[in-house]
Amino acid sequence: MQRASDTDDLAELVTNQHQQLRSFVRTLGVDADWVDDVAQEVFLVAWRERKSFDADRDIGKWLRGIARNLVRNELRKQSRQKRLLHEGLSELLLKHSDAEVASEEHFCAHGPELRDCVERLAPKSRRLVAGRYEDGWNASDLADHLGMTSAAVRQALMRIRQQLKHCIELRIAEASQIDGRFTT
Amino acid sequence: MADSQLDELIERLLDDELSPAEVDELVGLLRDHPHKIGDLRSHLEIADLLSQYEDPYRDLDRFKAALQTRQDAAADRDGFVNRVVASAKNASASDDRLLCDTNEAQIGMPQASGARNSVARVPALVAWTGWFAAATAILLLAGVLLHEETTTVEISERPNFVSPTEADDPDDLGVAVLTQASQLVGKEVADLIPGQTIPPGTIAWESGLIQLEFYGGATVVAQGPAKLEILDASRVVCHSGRLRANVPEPARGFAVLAPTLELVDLGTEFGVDVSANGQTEVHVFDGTVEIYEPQSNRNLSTRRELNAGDAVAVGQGGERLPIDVRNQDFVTPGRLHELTNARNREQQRDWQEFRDSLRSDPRVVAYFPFDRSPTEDRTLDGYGSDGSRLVGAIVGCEWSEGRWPDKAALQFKRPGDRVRIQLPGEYDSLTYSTWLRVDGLDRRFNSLLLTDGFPVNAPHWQIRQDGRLILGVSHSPKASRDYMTEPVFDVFRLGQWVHLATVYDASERRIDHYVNGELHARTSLHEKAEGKLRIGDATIGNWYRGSNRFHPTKVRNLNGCMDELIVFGDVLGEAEIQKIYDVGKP
Repeated sequence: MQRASDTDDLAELVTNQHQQLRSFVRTLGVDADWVDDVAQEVFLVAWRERKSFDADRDIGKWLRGIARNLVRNELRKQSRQKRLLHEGLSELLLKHSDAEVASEEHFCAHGPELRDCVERLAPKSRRLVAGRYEDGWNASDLADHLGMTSAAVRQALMRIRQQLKHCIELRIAEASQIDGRFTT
Repeated sequence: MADSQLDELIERLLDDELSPAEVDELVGLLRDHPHKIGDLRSHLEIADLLSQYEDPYRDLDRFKAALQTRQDAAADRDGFVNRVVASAKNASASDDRLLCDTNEAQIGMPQASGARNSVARVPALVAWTGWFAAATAILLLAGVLLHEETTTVEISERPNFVSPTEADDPDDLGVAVLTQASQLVGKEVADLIPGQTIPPGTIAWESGLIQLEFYGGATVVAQGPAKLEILDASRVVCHSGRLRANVPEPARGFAVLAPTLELVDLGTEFGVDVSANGQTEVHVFDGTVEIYEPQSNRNLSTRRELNAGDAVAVGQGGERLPIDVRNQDFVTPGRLHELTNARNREQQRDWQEFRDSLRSDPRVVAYFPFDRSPTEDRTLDGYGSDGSRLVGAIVGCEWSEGRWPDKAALQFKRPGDRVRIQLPGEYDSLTYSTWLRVDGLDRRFNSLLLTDGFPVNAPHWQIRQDGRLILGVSHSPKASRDYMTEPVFDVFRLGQWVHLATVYDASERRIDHYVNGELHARTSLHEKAEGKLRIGDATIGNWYRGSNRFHPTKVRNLNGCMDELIVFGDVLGEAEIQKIYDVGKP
């Protein structure tokens, strides 16, 4: 049936792109609680506009463009600003993102790399990550729990996130070399 | 200087702890240090990836399901009925995010359509063709119809998705249920509680009545002094005592063995009375029974049929004498019920006296008798120290019957059901006491009384899924400890009223747990345990972890009824706990 394959296409688009798109939306200053809401809207717009999409282009980039436009709209609409953390912050982050498009700096996060990197963290770091992102505890909760100060927890999480970024980038680079696809 | 301040603001933003004013400050600093913006974005990106990876709320299926719902809603709005959705569930999805209590895996969201192609191909997006020209109104709509508020739906600690297999099912060793008991006297029967499952074995008692309902379908009321040996779901040996059996059609074949005869029921009502010297009387009130000589393997030559109105006495030598039927001497279930009710009323009066005496007990921090207020259905009335009034705010729970027919209890069933309370003060030691009927241990932790969050010296009193009673105490940021019993709840204890008490004894440095008035576990306090205990803001039958915008508290709702809760700011000894149990026993 012709239409079922369309559903497959949308499902597949979401499967392939959701991870990067959602995290990208977060980098535009969208409130963590609303990231998925905005990301869903991006997919809906993309679906609506799919005819205008040129298949030779990078689809991830196209989705990110839609996301930026949505956040820009959000800034213009008083009523919808609740989805942004802070107007001024989103403006700064958007501007940074616009400049980034020119240099195409965005790194792609893939499930397996992230998973490998997270699961290879030292036990204490792994505990912090689970407490913060699975249980939703903030630094002071975790500090009480682990006998650290809140500041130490926040700094540890900063270090862990940096470490993960390097780890993921490294693995993606390795993978592309193995595939013989050299990236610049 | 500004740099370190900026770093700290970024760290705290990622901890979701910045006030709007602080974000203003952060934005100002970022304008002066634009090189930091990229760092911030990287952190936000990784933070979100981690959240996607770790947070069950954000898994891909759920994301797709929500997207599908919005897609469908848009299509509906365009009057496009002919859309393609793999599952009918989606078509009717209204995204009313109710938690289905029995299956936490599915949070009442529509399932993503069946098209979940796990084989990733390069998306052939050129091939996108018109599915429905639907989504034109989407953005407009998003503000109106699709903007689901993120409701907080609770999900359990770590739900066990494993469907139980045969191997996991507990074995039912019972053959009967004890449904009523009245004025029982005797060492062996002290612990019998109505509702209890009775396995094969011998029960002997000096006086009082019990009602047994056999799995085979027969109901037996037996009067002490008596000694019964239960063989299986349809056979009982009456060594001595008087019993009345009611055997409806499905239970036909129920057999009573006595020293001088074996009785097989053919669907009827009869009485058996075995005196101390072994003489046995059989009285048939209704229907027909057969009697055989004992140990004759129901030899037909020894068979004799008795009908309604017949009665016979069989002596030790086997001689059979006809006698007059004495229906009145054999207590019926209905009569036992009346006796039990009368006894209950006495018991309840004793308890009320005890309840009233507690008002002047200076050790009471909080006493909730769970008496339903005639006017305020949503408040739980109680007393604090020196008899001052305390109220709990009832959320969701429904009132139901407590330990006695005229006594109320609160029923905790749904994930949201709870009673919010505030208990002031600080205490060196605490004693908790409650009457409880547990109907199921559905959660990893099932709350009795939990302080908000889990700060130092604010104890958590709860039952673990494996049936252990626990007092959890965080002694310091580095040391928290669960003081627990061996499992005290198993499937056979469900649905019965149980008294639980736990004592945190700072002077003896130990924790004592009591079940039905008896000491069950005594453990030493952790070496780090020190300082005064606080309860403060707390929840009965559930847990509130504190406000966190991203994650709901783990579900720890109790499944059962509570009919009394007392917190003493002091140590109660064994005798006192025993007394609370004795006076409150149903």
